[in-house]
Amino acid sequence: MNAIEIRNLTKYYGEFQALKGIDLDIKQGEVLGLIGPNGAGKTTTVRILLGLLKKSGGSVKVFGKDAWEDSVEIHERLAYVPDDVRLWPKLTGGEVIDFLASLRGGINEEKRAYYIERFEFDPNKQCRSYSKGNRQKLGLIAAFAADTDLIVFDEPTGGLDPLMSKVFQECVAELKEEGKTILMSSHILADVEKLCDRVAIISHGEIVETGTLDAMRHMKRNLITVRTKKPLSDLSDVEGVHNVEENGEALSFQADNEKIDDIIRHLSAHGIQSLEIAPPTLEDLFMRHYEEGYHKSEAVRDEKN
Amino acid sequence: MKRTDLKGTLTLVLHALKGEWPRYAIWFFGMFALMVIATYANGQFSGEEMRELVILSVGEPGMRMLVSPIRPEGIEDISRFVFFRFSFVISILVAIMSVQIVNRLTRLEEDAKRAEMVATSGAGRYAQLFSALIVGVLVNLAIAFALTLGLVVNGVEVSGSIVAGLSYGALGIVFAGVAALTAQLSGNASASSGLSAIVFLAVFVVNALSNVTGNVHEDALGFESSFLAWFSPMGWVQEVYPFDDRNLWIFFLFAGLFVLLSFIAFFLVDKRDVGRGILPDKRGRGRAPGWMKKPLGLAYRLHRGAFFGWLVPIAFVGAAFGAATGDLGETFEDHEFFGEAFTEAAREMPFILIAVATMMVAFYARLALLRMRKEETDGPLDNVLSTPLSRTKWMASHVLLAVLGSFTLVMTMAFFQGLVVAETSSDLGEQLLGGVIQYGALFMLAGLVVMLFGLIPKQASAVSLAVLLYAILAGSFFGPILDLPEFMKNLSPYTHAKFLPENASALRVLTMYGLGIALGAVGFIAFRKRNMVF
Repeated sequence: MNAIEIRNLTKYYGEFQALKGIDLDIKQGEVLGLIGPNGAGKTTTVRILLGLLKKSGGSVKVFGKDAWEDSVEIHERLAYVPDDVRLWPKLTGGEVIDFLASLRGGINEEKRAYYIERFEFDPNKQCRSYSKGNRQKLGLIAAFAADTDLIVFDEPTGGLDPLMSKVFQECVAELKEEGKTILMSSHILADVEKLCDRVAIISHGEIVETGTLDAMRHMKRNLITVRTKKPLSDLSDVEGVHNVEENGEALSFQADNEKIDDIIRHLSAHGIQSLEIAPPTLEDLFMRHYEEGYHKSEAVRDEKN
Repeated sequence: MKRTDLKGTLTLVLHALKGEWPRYAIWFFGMFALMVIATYANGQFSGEEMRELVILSVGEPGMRMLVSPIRPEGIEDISRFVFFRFSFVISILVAIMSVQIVNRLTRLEEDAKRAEMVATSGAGRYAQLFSALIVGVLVNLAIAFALTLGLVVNGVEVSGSIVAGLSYGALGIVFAGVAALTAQLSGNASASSGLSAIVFLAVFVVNALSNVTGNVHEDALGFESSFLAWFSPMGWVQEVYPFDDRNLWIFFLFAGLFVLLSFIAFFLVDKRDVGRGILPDKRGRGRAPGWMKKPLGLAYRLHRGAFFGWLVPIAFVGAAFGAATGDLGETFEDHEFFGEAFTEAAREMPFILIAVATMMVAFYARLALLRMRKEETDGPLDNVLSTPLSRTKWMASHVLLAVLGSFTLVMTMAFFQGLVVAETSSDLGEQLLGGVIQYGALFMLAGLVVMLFGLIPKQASAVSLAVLLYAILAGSFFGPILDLPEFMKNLSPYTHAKFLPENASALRVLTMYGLGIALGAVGFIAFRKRNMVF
């Protein structure tokens, strides 16, 4: 059973097409990371999902209901933490938590106290005096204390210090144990790597890749650093080898996964002295998409001007 | 003070002029148009009519609150006569304008966190405030020029016109200083403009009282303010007498007060943190009380500050108006000179004042309704609407409070005025009925604001302000003074709310309430169908 089903979702802002046919499923109990450069359409997707923006085309279903028409019913089972938690400057943090949790169907007192303690949050201060990190905590506590089935985060750890980011990761892990469904849009790859079952990469209004991190890694190139007795002058000609760089006495290059056997044979024919194989980092995985996204969006901006 | 404290001021001034010039242009041409039309329209009266109009207003102490002193020998001259009738409204407009200009360039910049970026990008610590004051002074000088021009094109003598224009510019500059000070005292932009509004109300009331307690010339052909005028900058404007005494030394009073206010403001800049007020943030309660957990409760929490900020002054205004018109009966008993027509006019007076108060409260209603837009642009609305609260219920809670709040304000004014007046002439119930009739016009305007918020959220603030100013200027009070064509007056709901309950058509009043509901309903439907936009 899918908690969220997005089919061919499009969104126009005037002439500008922000989303170009997004397809995305999130199973119940799954933690999905939505990743992409600024302006790729993450927040637009999330706000359509919440019924705050109207889609231009396609369908968005949450718990089998239409995200726009049935938003009130959907929201009974959902909590949302925006990227920049901006609330009423004169109200205290505690008042805001109580108000939002009450709207979400009642405060779970135990959880409220638990999360205030976990995040070391002072609920007696007025919202305007909280730092960005503290406002982020406030949003998180208000969402966690409501005890909903689905939680949507938009850049949840942007303002948190490393210690609090860790607390956040622990909290999400606990929620995952409880079987909650979580959609997390994020730039913080460490969070995604630790928490998400599956990742969807969005770039320029399109989902360019989805899958588990492991599956994505297999499709990618490993980074190999090697030193051999005989010089490896013809390495670039070997099939599956890319971006050869001299690195002192050693050579480093990227190797396609499916050709790895042939490549290693070629290397050992030259007498391997040392060999390092590193799996692609998340950064490597995403950077390509990010860069493409930036180039494209710059091109679009140029066209608009 | 260090030499670098003002660094970057010029850049900031240019930046402000570049970003805000459309607003300034609207004020400039608006004030020019007002001056031209008012002078032209009033110039059409014959000398005899001018005398009658002066006698009618000056004879009633209540009416004296809304006019400016004039001397018997100057009545038939348009330059003096136009300010007799318009000093009050021009003063209000320049004060509102100046407060808005300075508030936008100081407090609003801080609220939007732009001030921090400016302060850390090499601008001196006083640059932001100093540049706002410079812009405030420049725009007011431009307004002085607009007013002068408006007079001169009607053939009014040039040097007197210059002095007259400058006197309102000087009043505006003083209010730029007031806004600079309240910006330092308050924690955010809305609190700051609220505080400025209270200062203005005090200035207005003192001036009104100085006119009420002033010396009436023989046969009510003009009057002089009492000594109280010296306690109100609005009174100073009246004391300049640009076409008679030409008391130029009064400009030193304006300048002195402006320098004093600015000096205190600069002093306070050092005493507070960027983004905060002088008054410290309180440590509040860690839990929300039961009532606040409901949407209506939260809306009440968000509206109550502004509401009570208005409630006390409006009650005071009601009582003051009442006290002034309460003398009415006695005045007319003393002067057999006044005939039947004046008794009728005297009876109408408290109802006119209710109408004027309702026009003021319309500004409260507009801001209370635009609170919804503020929730939307400032961010909280995304949070609130991602809970199981429906858009309609959320909107209803705010609209209900804005309507109830503004209705209470109008009725409070009518009630307090009635308390004082009812003993002498009019029945309290009739006063309250007068409030209900006038509120019909406001209710319709409120419905319009709701519709604008639903249909064109990004333009709702500007368009609603334009509509409101039009409705007031073309309405029952200013419309006839400006001598606008019938169709223009009829477009304003205020025109259809006649002052005296027996003159008001029940059908028209009910139609206005009905239209208010219809317009509001359009807003509700549109809001359900639209995107949330920042």
